[in-house]
Amino acid sequence: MTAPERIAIAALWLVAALVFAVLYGPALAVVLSSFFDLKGQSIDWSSFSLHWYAGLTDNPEMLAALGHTLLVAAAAVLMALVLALGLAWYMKTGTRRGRPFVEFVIFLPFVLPGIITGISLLVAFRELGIERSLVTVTIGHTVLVLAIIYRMVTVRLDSLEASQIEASLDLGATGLQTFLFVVLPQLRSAIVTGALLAFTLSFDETLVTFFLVGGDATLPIRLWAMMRVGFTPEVNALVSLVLLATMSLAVLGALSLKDSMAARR
Amino acid sequence: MTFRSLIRLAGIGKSYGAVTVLQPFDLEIGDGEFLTILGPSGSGKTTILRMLGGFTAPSTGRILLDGTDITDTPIFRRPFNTVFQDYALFPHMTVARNVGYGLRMRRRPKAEVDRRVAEALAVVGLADKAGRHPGELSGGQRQRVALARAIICEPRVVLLDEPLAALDAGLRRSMQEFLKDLQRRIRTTFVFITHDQEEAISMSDRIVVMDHGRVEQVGTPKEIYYRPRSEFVARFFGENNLLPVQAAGGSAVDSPLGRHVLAATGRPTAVAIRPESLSLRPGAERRSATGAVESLTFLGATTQIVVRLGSDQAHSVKIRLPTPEFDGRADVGDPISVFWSDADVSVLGA
Amino acid sequence: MADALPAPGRHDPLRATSPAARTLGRWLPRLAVYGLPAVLILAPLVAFLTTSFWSMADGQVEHAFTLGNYVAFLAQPSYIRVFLGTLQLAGIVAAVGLVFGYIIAYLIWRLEGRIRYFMLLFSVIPLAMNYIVKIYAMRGILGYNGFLNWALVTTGILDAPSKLFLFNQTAVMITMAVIYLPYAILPIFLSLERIPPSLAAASADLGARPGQTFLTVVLPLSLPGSIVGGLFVMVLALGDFLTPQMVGGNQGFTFGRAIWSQFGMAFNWPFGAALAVVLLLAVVAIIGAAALISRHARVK
Repeated sequence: MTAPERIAIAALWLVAALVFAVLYGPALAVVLSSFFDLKGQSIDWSSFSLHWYAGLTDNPEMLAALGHTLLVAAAAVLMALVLALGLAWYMKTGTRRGRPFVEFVIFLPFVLPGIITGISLLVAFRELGIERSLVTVTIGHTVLVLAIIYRMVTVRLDSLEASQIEASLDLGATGLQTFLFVVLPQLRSAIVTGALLAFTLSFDETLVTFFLVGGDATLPIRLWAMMRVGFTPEVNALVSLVLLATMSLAVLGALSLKDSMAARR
Repeated sequence: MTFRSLIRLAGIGKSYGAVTVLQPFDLEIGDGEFLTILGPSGSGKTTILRMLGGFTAPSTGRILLDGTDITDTPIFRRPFNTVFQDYALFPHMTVARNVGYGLRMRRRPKAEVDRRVAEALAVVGLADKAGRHPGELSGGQRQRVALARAIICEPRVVLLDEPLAALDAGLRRSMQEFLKDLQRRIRTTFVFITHDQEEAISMSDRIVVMDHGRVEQVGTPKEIYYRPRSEFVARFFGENNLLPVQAAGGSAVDSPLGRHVLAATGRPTAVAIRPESLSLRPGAERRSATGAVESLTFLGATTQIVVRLGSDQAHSVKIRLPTPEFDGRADVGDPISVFWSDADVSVLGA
Repeated sequence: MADALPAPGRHDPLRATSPAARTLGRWLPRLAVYGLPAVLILAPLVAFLTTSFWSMADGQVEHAFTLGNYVAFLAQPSYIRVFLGTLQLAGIVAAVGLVFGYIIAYLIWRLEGRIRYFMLLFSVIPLAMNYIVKIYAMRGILGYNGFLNWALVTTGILDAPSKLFLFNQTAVMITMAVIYLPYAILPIFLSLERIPPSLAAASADLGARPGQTFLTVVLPLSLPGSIVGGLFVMVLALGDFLTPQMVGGNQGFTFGRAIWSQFGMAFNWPFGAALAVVLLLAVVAIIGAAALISRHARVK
């Protein structure tokens, strides 16, 4: 590398470092305030304490919201998995003429802004007389993450030779047995990665949830409500924990993605 | 070996919209025979195999097994097993689990499955690879696993879709012998697809020759070779001499090889005779013709002589002789007499 | 030679599936596969579009077809001004994301080995942070007593803390840029990845200095994919109605907030749906532009 090039790259790294500082700034602020007292711009380093973490148990509404979020995420991922697997399998077994159209529809909620998807489902539920609740939220999340899981499954499925499916049928397995014993085991990595990514997405989902939430709040909704009056300090503790959890999930998802790409010989 | 019909393809044909890939035909497949469907790519041979296996439905016609119509029977209920061109082994299962798959689908008890898997692997010589995964095996070994997996369920017919195509020449030859030997031992009907004529001739009991979706001829290798019924079949195998014909009144035709009387009505287009059926030695009941030597080619064990026949020297034939028999009898330009037996002449197109 | 193995309990192993079973087996999955996405996704969208053509009277929705909502939108310069202003805002956010995202993606692209993968992960982790909390933290940082003012005053850039960083359009822009920038990094990285390595090598072989290679080879080839990444950020920013609400104050009113209020306080769902349709049209136009750009790039 020439000298001017070295300088240029170094300058770019400086800029990048600043950007990273800005990107991580909010997270850092929150984590620090969960341990220390922050007053405006100064940190009281002597005030290290875990009592906000302990105080979490005293905030039942927030813990309930956390529970709802986990429930919705798990249910949405499960439903999206079943739907995505069924759709992908159907598309694989035979030349389906409507395939591009169906895939376009599946990807719509993922590509369009959440406000559009949220309003659409809200109006639909209204017209059908369905009350807003965690169920409506779950349906909204399912529709959102369906595209991710479908994509991961389809990509993996496409690399599966059709002759394996034919061989299984030829040896006497029904379509269902073929799916269970031959196809599903080979989809495992795609399913795990997709599920992890979908769970992460559902956990933090805010915009669509806003339109579909009823009496029981999810964590983002609860945080929003608390934000208007100002966070109580144990919020920082909870958010720090959630941050740790989501970061772990994201890392797990990334690792399993790397594995699944390496496993494809 | 007496022929007992096992499968009957009645009026089977296949079209995709306006495109006909297989013209309707009839075929009987015999119990325990090694039948090869031979043809270049696009001839429709794979389509026939896929229809037998149940992967494609015929557009016309019915398939009967021992008299039972199985045209609408789904793949997993047909008592046939396929060896796929890419072997289609399940990568996430060991060799043993791959081979035992069909038996497990039939819910055979574990002890029986284990025993039969061991037997099948021993038959194909892979007993020590039972715990390996397909990815750890060579191409030839994978091929044998696919074979074991197909025969273990004791199907009525084993369908083989160009199974030797991916193997190198030496391996191919040894596998050909192995397959032929295996088929004789287990006495199961083999329906074998290939585009390689030597393979077909050396392994089959009968050959179905296909071209562009049409069944050209069905017969034993000798029949196909010495008694071709169309120009395609005549040219498909080895070298052949084709000579034109002229109508000669009634059901007879004339050719440079003499007059031929036809049994049935047809539209003869040419006559054919194999180079090795032409000789320089006279004999009883042999026809003859005179001509001039056009070229001589020493090919090692055999010598090829091209002779221009007839007074007008319009047609040439290739003769193939064992070299010692020829032994410098003539030179280029010399007059020469050619002899043959009328039984060795095939009228094509009839 | 054995007959077809008799499976226990199964009579007549060869039986063909009946025509009735075959038809059912063909149409039932077909119905589910085409029906479910239609019911879950298409039908609500249709309902949403239809609602935009209805109207509100006395707190009840009137199911009568009318273009009144659209007329109201077009006739009021304030709504159009907000719409265009929001487009501009989202465009700026996209541009910021594109520039800084490109820098980061480019630097990561130049790395090799495990550190590359690690840096990629590092740049994507901010997305794992809770969205609401990000906004809240930014509100703290941008405020009169917040970190930004402290930093600017301490370094001498400002004499005194400023109130100009919060509760206006600038605040919305800064916050959105911070939130949505990581979304741009991956698409840009992928567009750089698609460049065959031999091209840069050929350029150097032919005598181009590193800077020239970048300008003549790397940048042009990665630009279409990067712009698509930027447009992706733009779509995200357009649809965000919570960020403006928290950090925008009275001056940071965006189109998203206008839509949201129709479903909240203003309670005029048909009108809100109509405004959302306008937003949808803008989004479709942007996505269409992105598709055109990427197809044009692929043809090359």
